[in-house]
Amino acid sequence: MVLTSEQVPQTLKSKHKKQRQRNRPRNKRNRLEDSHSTTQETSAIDATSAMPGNAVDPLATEKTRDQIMAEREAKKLAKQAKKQKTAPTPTAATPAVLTTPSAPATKIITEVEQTTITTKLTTTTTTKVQDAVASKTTQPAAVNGKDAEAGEKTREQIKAEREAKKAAKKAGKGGGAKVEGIAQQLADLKVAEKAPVAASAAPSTTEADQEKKKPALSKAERRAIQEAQRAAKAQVQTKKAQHAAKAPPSAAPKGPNRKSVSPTTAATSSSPVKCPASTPNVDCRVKLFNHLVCAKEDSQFINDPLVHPSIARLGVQYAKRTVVGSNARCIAFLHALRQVVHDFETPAKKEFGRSLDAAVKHHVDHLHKCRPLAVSVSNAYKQFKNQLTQLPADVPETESKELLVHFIDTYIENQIGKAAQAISGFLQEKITDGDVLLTFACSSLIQFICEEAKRRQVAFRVIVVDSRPGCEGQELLRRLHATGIPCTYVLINAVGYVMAEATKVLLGAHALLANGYVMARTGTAQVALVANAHNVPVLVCCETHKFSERFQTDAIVYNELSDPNQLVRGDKCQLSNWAAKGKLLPLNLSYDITPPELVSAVVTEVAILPCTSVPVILRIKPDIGY
Amino acid sequence: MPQITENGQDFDVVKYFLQLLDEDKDLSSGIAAIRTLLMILEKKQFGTIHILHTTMREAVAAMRNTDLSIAAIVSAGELFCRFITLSLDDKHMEECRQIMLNRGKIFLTKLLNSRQVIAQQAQRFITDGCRILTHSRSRVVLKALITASQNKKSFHVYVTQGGTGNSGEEMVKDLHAAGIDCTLILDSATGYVMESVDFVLVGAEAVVESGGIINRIGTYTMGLCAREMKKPFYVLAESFKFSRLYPLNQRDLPNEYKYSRKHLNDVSKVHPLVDYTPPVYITLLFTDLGRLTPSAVSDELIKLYM
Repeated sequence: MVLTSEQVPQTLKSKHKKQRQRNRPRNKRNRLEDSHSTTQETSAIDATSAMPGNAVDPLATEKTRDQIMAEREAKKLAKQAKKQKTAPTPTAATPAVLTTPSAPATKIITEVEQTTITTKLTTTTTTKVQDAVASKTTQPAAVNGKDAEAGEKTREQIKAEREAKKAAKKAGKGGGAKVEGIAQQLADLKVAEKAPVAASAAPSTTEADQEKKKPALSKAERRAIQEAQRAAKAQVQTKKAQHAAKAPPSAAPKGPNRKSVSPTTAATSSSPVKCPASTPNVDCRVKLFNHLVCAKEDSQFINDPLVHPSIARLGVQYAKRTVVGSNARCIAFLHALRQVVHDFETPAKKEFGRSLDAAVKHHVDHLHKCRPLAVSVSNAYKQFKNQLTQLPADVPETESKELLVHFIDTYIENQIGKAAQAISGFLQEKITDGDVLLTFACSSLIQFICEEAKRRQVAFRVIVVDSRPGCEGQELLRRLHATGIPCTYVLINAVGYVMAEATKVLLGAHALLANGYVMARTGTAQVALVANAHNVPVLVCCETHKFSERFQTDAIVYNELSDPNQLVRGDKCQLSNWAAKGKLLPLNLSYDITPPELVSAVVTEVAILPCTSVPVILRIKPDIGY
Repeated sequence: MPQITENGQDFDVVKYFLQLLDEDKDLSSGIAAIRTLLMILEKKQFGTIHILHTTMREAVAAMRNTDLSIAAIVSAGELFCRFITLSLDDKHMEECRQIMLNRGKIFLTKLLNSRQVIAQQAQRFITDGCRILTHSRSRVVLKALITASQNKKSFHVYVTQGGTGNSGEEMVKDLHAAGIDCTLILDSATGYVMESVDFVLVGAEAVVESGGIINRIGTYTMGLCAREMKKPFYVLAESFKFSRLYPLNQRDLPNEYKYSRKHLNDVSKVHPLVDYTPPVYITLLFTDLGRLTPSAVSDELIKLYM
C-alpha cells in the first residue's frame, strides 16, 4: 500500500516531465498539494479536532510559495521570468484540488458497496471481481515504473536547491504527512485503501488538464480547430445519411408512378368496352333532346341493402309506370316514406333527426334513379325535410316518429284530399245542366269533379280525348262509365271535330310553373290550342302542392323521355326493329308546356286564378298556412 | 213588437239607402251602401261579431232588392265588412264597435277620395288634341274628363247612347256644362267611329277576379272592336268594385247581375243590362290602388281577401 501511495505522485511528476522539463518546481508544489490532500482526509476521518491542522497547512503552502519566489528572484534569469508568468496559475489549481476530494470520496464509497455486493453473489460474480483485481494489479505495475523515475527527479531537484535547511524542513513535514496517511490506510479496510487512490487520481487529472490548457493556448486553439473539423466531418456524414434516407422516398414515388401506368392501361382496355355501350346511347337519343335522361328498358335495379323494401317496390312501380299521375305518385311516395319512418332505427351515437334525414335522402335518390321525381313528390319531400328540421331535440324517438307520421297523414289529407274537395266546390258552380265537358287523358281530380257533379244531379256529359302511346283516357272512360256519366271517347286527331260541341275544357296538370305555364301530359297543349281557337274556356285543375318555382317556356329545356319501344305497335308496324335501322330515332316525350294565353283559369283550392297569379300563391302560401 | 222592429229595420235600411241616393245624384250606389252600413253600425247594438255579420248580410240583401247596380253593392258591402273587422282581437264589444266605427269612417273617406285619385292617374293619358270614345255614363270617367279640361287640355269625346235609359244623353249634358267638346253617337256606330278615336275610356260596375270587367251592355262589343282596330282600352274603376267572381263567359254571369229583379222570373223576353268583358280586351285599369294590368287584379284581390 505504501508503494501505491508513493507511485501516484510519481505518475503525476512523469506527466509533467513529459510536457515540459521546466515544470520541475511545480512538481514540488504538486507533492505539497498531495500531502495537503492526505492531511485533509486524515482530519475528516479523525474528528473535528483535526480542523485546526488544516488551517495550519495553508500557511505552510504559502511559505513554500514564498520560498520558490525567492529562489526565482535569486536566479534573476530570463527563464525565471517565464516561471514567474506561470506562477499565478497554481493559486487557481489549489482550490480545485481542495474541492475534488469530496466527490471522489462519495464515488469510492459507492464502488466499495458494489464490490461487496458482487462478492456476496455467486461464483460468476467472484470471477468478475477477480478480473477487476487483475486490472488494478496491472495499473500499479505501470505506476511503479513511473515512481522510480519520479524519485530520481526529486533528488536532483533537492540537490539543485541552494538552501538546504528550508528544503530539509519542507521534506520533513511532507514525509510526516505521508507516514500518517499510510498508517491510517493500513488501519482502515479496503475502503480506506481505495479512497486515497481515487482521490489522488482525480486531482491529478484535473491538474494535468489545467496545466495543458494554461501554457498551450495554441493547443487549445488547435483543439478547437480540430473539434470544428470533426463537427464538419460529422455534418458531412449526416448529410450523406440524409441522402441515403432520401433514396427510399425516391423509390416510393416510383411505385405510384408504376401504379398510375396500370390505370391508363386499364382505361385503354376499358375503352373497347365503352365503345359498344356508347352506340346504343347514340341510337336512342335525338340530338335536340340529348340532355334528357334516357329511360333504359334493360337496366337492372341494383339491390341496394340500404333501401327500404317499400321504397324498392315503389321504385320498380315508378320505373314500370305502374303508378302514374302526379297525385298517385305523391300519395304512394308518402305512404312508402311513412313505412320508412316507422321502421327506422337510429344508429348508435347519432341523432335521430339527422340520421333519418340522410337515410331519406338516400331513398329519394334511389327513386330519382328509377324515374325523375314529379314536382308533387319533390314538394312533398321538401315539406317533410322542413318538418324534420323543426323536430324538438329533447323528445323521445317514438314521439318524433309519431309526429312525422302524423305530418305525412295530414299532408295527404290537406294537400290532396281537401284540395280536391275545394276545387270541386269551385267547379260545381261552373258546371250547369246541358254542359259538355271535354277532358284529356286521365286525371284523378277530373274524375272526382265529374262524380261530384253527377251526385248533384247535374245533366252533363263528358268527352274523353285520348292519345297514344299511353291511352290513359281509357282508364278515365272506364271509371266515368261505371259512375253512370254519359261519355264520348275520341282520339286526339278528332279533337277539332268534337270541340265544337264542348262548352268547357277541363285539364289536369303535372305542374304549374312560376311563369304561369302549365306542364302536363303530352297533348294537353294541343287540346288547349284547339279550344282557344273555338273560344271554349279552358280550366286547368291543379292543387297548390303541384306549383313549381321553375321557369320554363318550352318543353325542350326539361322533359322526360319514355320508352321509345312504346311507339311500336304490332309486328306489321314500320317502326318494328327500329334499332337495326341506323337513321331511325323514335322520340317518346312525356310532358308538354301550355302557355298561359291558352288557359282561361286555374282552379286551385285557394281560389280560381289566372295563370299569372302563381307567384303570388307561392309567395303567400306559407303565410296562409296551406 | 219584434215584427214591428224588424219591419222598421228593413224599412229604415232601404229608406235611408234610397234617401242618400236621391240627395246626391253623383253618389255611387256602392258608397251609399257603405254609408248605410255605417249608420247601422252606429245605431244598432250588437252582442257578438256573428250578430254583426248577420245584420250586415241582411242589410246588403235588402239593398240588393232595389233596382240599382247589384255588383257594386255586393262588392262594397263585402269589402266594408272585411275592412272593419281586420284588426279586432280580444276586446270588449263596445270597444270593438268604436274601433269598427273609426275604421269604417276611414274606409269611407278613402273611398270618397278615390275618384279624385283615379282622375289624376288618367291625366297622363289624356293629351291635348286627343279623341276619346266612352260608353254611356260613368261618374269616374266624367270626373277624369272634367279634371283634364280644368288642366287646360283640349280634346274631343264621343259618347254612345247606352241603350235603355239613354244615360249617354246625360253624359253629353254634363260634358257640355263643363265646356268639353263632345258628340253623341249611336251604339251601332261604335265600329264606324273606332278608327277615328285614339283610345277608349270606360267605367266599370264591377271588376272580377280574372281581371275582366262587368259594365253596361255594349262594353264587350266596344272592347272587341277596339282590340281588332288596335286601340287601347282603358278602364277606370274604384277598388271597392273588385268582386270575388270569375265568369268564364257571358252565360256564366249570374242572372241577378244581368237582369233587374222584376224580370228574374222569365228572362227569355228581356235583354240584359250588363255584359262581361274578358281581360284579354283590356289594356289597363286605373284604380286608386294604382295602374294595374288585368293580371294584377287577381293579385290585389288575393291581398284583400287572404
